[in-house]
Amino acid sequence: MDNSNVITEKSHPIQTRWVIKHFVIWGLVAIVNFIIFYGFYLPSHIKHTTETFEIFFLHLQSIFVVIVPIILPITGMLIRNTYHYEFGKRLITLKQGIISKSERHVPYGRIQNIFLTQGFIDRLIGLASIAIETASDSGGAKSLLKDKKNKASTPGIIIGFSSNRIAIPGLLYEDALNLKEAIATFIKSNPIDDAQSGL
Amino acid sequence: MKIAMSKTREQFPLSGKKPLKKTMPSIVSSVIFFVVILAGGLILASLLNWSFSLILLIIILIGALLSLSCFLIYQYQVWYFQVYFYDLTDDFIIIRKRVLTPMEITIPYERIQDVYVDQDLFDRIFGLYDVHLSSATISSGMEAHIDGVEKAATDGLRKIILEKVSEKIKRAKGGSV
Repeated sequence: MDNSNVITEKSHPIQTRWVIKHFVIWGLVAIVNFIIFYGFYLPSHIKHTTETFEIFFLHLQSIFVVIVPIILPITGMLIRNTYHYEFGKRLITLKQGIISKSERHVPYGRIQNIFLTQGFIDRLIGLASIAIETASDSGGAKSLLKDKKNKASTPGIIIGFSSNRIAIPGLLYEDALNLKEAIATFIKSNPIDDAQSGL
Repeated sequence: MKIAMSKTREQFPLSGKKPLKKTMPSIVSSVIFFVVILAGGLILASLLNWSFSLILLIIILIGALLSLSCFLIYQYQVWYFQVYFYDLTDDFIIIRKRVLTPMEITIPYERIQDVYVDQDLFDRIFGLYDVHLSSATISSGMEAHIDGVEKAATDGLRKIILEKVSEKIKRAKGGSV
């Protein structure tokens, strides 16, 4: 592969519709919350209270409920736009972060497995997600010990990279297939030489 | 619907009993639920002098609903069985499953930590096995297994995976020395 067709966030972008879907869902949750709050909770509650402080607190809460649906999509776009990935010949180079930045380099030989998943809504709008896992830090048995409650639910983060997982969601389905194939080829051309397998 | 075939699935097929086995828990719980309702209803009716025919009608209705739901679950499991895909390619193990939210896992052979085979209660009754193959991550342990294969296919799968893994490791070692 020559330099012109290196896979980056530009050639295989996270689709805006994924960002909208993902963060608007939380906005909708906030709106439902808002309706329940103003329609049911507040009318039944406000009759009994004359305390200024309590009324102030209730209004503060409602401001929060209004602001969340506006803030969430903006944050979503920022997260998406500051997430950079580049699949080079020997390393995956990743950068993320809005305020605190982080950068990570992953050698292909260290990849444990690749996931290609499609959620139900993702499937309807023609998207797919890629997740790449390494065996670093909190990915293995350690996180089981740390976090006994969540041991059955380790889908990990949804966008970005943290602990042992690199998640690239919301790719076009063809892009996701393409990326998976490319990673597989890179793994093949970067064999590991110390055989860390348990066998 | 067409069955998702691969070379590996042709060679080591999933057992046709798999959908039934996966429906068994719901069948058993439905039967228990139905028996409890039947006994409870009849006892209550005789104690409180309710009309038997009405109670029986309600119970039969519940029974019909339960069997319908079991049938639908069975149909879903058949569908699941049809889209279940696994392939041992030259360099990777690929497993793809689930109907509505498909997920696919790709594991390089060098990264397989262990291959282990287990059976639960219904597996033993039906003579089926689950072949688990995980890499060093938790989610792969949860997702990467081929379940519902019979004895011969299990042994074949295990043998071929272990062979490929050691071959790969040997080759990697040879490269470095």
